[in-house]
Amino acid sequence: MHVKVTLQAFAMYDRRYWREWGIWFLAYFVLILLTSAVVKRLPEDGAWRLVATLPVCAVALSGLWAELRQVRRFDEMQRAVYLEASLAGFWTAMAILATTALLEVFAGTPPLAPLWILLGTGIGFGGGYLNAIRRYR
Amino acid sequence: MKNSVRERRQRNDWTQQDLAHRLGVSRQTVNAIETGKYDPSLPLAFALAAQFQCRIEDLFEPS
Repeated sequence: MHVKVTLQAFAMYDRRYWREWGIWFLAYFVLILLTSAVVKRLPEDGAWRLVATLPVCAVALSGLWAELRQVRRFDEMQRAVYLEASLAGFWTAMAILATTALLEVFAGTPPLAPLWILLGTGIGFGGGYLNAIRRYR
Repeated sequence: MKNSVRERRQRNDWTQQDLAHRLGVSRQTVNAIETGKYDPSLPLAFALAAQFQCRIEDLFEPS
């Protein structure tokens, strides 16, 4: 049953989305490698380091374009599922960020690596998605 | 909300996929409407009524 629900969640995304997402991910990955190589060669306190990261930031943001195009192709129930998943992802990220930031300020705990926040957001989104899909099936 | 979408669809000898295609939605959405797990928006309810050539109030009734 879990496998069926998971497959149904993936079925909401069409081939066009996966193609666009694949192109975006490839471009992003290549640019991350290139930017890393460039940034390493620049002086640590130079403003050029910041400038060098701008293209990869722009590509990272452009992933939203593929996502929005897919959301526009969703029907109304799929949008409701997506909204619930997005809220679950957003609130998970906010909960992690707020809790770790406050603990850092008041208890002096070490800062959390951004990758953990990314992972938490993904888990929140996925959990919200599967939960909503299961309710409507 | 109760509805007679499944009965009317079967009477027309349409599959869920057929009806979904006619309405421009996914098969999962048609299934969720038929099982009463999802209440459609007003435009989609009108589209459903148009497909079955009936009024919205003939198709849906409050549970």
